Amino acid sequence: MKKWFYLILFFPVVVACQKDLKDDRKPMEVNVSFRPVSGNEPLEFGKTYINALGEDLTVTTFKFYLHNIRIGNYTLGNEDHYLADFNASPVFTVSGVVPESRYTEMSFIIGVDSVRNFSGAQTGALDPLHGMFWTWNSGYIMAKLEGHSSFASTPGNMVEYHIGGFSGEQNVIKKITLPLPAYTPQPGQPLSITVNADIMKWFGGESNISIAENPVCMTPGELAVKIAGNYYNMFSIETE
Amino acid sequence: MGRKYRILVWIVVAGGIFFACTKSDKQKAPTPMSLSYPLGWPEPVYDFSGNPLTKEGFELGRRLFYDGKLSRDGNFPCASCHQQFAAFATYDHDYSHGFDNQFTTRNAPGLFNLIWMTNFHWDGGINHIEVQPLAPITAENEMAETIENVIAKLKADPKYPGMFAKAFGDGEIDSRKMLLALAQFMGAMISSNSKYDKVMAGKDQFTYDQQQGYEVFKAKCASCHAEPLFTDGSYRNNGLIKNPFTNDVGRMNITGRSEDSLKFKVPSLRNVFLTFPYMHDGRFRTVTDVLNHYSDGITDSPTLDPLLKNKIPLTPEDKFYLLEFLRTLTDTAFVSDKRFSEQGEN
Repeated sequence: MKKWFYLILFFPVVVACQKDLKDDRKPMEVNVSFRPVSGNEPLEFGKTYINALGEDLTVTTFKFYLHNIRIGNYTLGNEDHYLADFNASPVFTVSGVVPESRYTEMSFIIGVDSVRNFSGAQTGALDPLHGMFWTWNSGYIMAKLEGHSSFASTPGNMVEYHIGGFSGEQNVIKKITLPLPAYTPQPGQPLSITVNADIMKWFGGESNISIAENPVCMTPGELAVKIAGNYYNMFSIETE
Repeated sequence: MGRKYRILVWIVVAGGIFFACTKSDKQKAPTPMSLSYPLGWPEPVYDFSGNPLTKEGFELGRRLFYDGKLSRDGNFPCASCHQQFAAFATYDHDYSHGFDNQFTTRNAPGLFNLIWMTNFHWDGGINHIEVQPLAPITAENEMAETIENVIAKLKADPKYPGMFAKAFGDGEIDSRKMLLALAQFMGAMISSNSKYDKVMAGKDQFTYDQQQGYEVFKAKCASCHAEPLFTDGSYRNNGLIKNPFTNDVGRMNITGRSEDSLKFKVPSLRNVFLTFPYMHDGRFRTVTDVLNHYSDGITDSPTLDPLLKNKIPLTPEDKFYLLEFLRTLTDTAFVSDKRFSEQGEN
């Protein structure tokens, strides 16, 4: 008799303490995949592309930091920062479970949270071993695009855009919001979203970036802010 | 009733033994280490809050500091440029030697009292003590290594895995643990035992000449080289002609602001007689050269520090007394402290 008494007594506590969604809606799995492209085609490392100014570019490296990846108001994934490294894998995916609903937008922040740029030694995606931390001017490289171009007058015709800066006028950390195309949630089916990241957008947009004039950007400052202003617009959601 | 009680006692005892035995399989907690510094000093900027100072962490950091493995060819540990007998500067060198017969592009400063600094390097480009080692380790003209390679070498070493486990618990060796250990070692290097410090603590007295020098110092030098750290940590243009070989514009490299052109961090004058030559490029061999620069050598420029617009008038007597005072900043106890020295193989 006593056993049942305690069971009934503690049952609401157990149910209330569950960390499940405080929601009547069903859970819905979401996969957001970032894919590098050049204009209308998937980006291939080692292949040559032409930018809006007619300059050729062969890409060898493309990666950037993301955090706070959200569907509506719900954050996806368990890590606080992600490094989308397309040299490591052709697609970068973050997954999560959100209440089932017809969400109209998704968002994420491109870059590393400003505080993490001056809090000392970091690990995981923010480990300096990933080559995305300036050792002589402490701070993260938020986005990196490297390659070669016949228009680059640098040694080895190298093109190197290391875009960083986290404070004041040098800040390039930005929240990107993308409208989601309409969809109907299907029971038991994950919502899969593909976000294209178009490297061509680095060269045109708010400012025109010419490889001939600026084959390299290695420090925070005006040029980095200009290039970042362009690449904020490189994301688009792939529609079937 | 009695029998049930006895069984309960045995269950508790057995459980206790069980837990005690399983606990001994886990790593013993590291031994906390404390630092002391004189009364009246400001609060340190780095308080070890994310990196508790322990004996095991400190000793690991010390081993790393003296280990050539952190460099490409094994010849350039941190200690190759940061020599204890020179208060951890490079003795007698304007620039230091790096990998493949290369030189650094700036004079290596002494290492002490680092936990009171907000930024590191002559241009303040390093914003946190924990990430400073990344710069010399990866610089092609210094230690010329990659972080990846260093971590691989540490993992393959017979001693390091055990030392990392003792300091940071089980788990993989990663760059963060290495950097935390180095920060513990470097952070513990406090220089506060010079004659000057003893006088300030009421345990000693200046000679007449030293006292005169102290008066001149307070009147002519302390606005930038403020006590007790002997620097105010600011960036100033102290009237040096730009180095024509390195074209080093100092702080402007970091902030991008033209008003920061030719500004360099005010260095601490502690141990100054051990850390010659002087300035960001080691252009002055002796302290007298430096004093002569301030009295007669200042070059004007748009960013020259306002305090130096009229140079610093110093008579020959002033200079003599200043030298006597500055000698009292040499901390022999610090440079001979075996805790900061390379240990024998063990």
